[in-house]
Amino acid sequence: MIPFLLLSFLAASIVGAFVSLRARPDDGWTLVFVLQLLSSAILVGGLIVSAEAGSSIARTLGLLSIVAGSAAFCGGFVAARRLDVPPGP
Amino acid sequence: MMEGANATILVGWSLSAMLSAAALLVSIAGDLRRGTHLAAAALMVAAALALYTHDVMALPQICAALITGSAVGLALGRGIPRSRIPLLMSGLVGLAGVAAVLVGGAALRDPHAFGLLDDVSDRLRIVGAAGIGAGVSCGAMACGGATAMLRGGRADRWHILIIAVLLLAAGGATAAFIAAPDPARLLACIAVALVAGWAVTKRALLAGMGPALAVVSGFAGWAVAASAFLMENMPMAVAGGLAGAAGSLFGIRLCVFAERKGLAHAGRRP
Repeated sequence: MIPFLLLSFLAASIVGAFVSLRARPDDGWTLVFVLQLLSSAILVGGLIVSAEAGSSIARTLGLLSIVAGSAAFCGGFVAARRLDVPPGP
Repeated sequence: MMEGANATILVGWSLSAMLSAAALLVSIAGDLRRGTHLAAAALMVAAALALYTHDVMALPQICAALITGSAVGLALGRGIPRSRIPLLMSGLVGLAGVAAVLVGGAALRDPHAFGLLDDVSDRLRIVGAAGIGAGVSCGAMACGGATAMLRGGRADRWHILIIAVLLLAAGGATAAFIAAPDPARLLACIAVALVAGWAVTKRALLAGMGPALAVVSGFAGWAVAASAFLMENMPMAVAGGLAGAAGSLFGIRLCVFAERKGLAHAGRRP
C-alpha cells in the first residue's frame, strides 16, 4: 500500500509544482481558495479516526477533527461563492 | 488495505484524485466557481468512500460532528464582511491544521486501531511514527502561520537564518519523536513547529496577504499528505500533495517576485 500511496503523492506533487509555476500572480486568490478547499481533505482523516478508534479519547479527538475540518470546508466554500459573486449596489 | 481494495474503491479513489487535480488546473485560468465545485466534489467522493470502506462504529456522533462543523463554517462564511474574507481564509486553513494535529494525537493515543503497531515488538512502526510526527508538525506550522496572520497581519523582517534555524529545529523535534515516539516529544514538536510557522508566515507577509496564505495552505497540504500515509488513504495523499506542492512553491515564487520588485523599485529611487 505504501508504494502505491507514495506514487500517487509524488504524481500529485508534480502536478502541484506545475500549477504553481504556470499560475499568474494576478490569479493568485483563485488558486489560494482552491488550495484551502483541498487542504480541508483532513476531514476524511477525521472520519476514518472516528470510525476506527477504539478508545473514547481517540474517538473524541477524531470527532473534534471532523468539526474543525468540516468548518474549514464549508466556510471556505461559502466564502469562495461570496467572492465569486460581484457585490451588490 | 490494498489487498482488500475492490474495484469500486479504486474507481472512487481515482475519481476523487482526478477531480482534485482538475480543480487545481482549472484555477490556473482564474475560474473560481468551477475550481471550488470540483474541489468540493473531490472531497465529497473521498468522504463517502471513507465511510464506505471502514466499519463505522459511531455514525450518530460523526453525523452530529459534521452538522456542527458545517453550521460553524456556514456562519463564519456568511457572517464575516466581504473585506475580511482573506483573514477568514487564514483562520479556516488554521482550523485544517488543528484537525491534522488532532488526527495525529488520536493515532498516537490508539495506534492499535489503525494497524500502526509492530506485530513482534508491539512498538509503533516507523511509518506510523513518521506519519504522526510529520502530520502534527505541518499542522502546527499551519496553525502558527494562521495565528500570525490573524493577529494583526503585520509583517516582520525575520532574518532568513533565524527562520532556517527554526525550521531545522522543527525537523529535529520531528526526527526525535520518530526515533522514540511519546506524547511529551509530540508536544515539543508542536511547540517548535508553531513558532517556526509563525516566523515563516511573518516573513511571507512582507510580500502580501496572498503569498502568506499560499504558504500556510502549503503547510496544511503537507499535513494532509502525512496523515494520508497514516490512514492509508489515496485521495488524501493526492489532495495533500497537490495543496502542499502548489501552495509552498507558489508562495515562495510570489515572495521572491515581491522582493525583486521591491529591490527594483529601491534601485529607481534617487
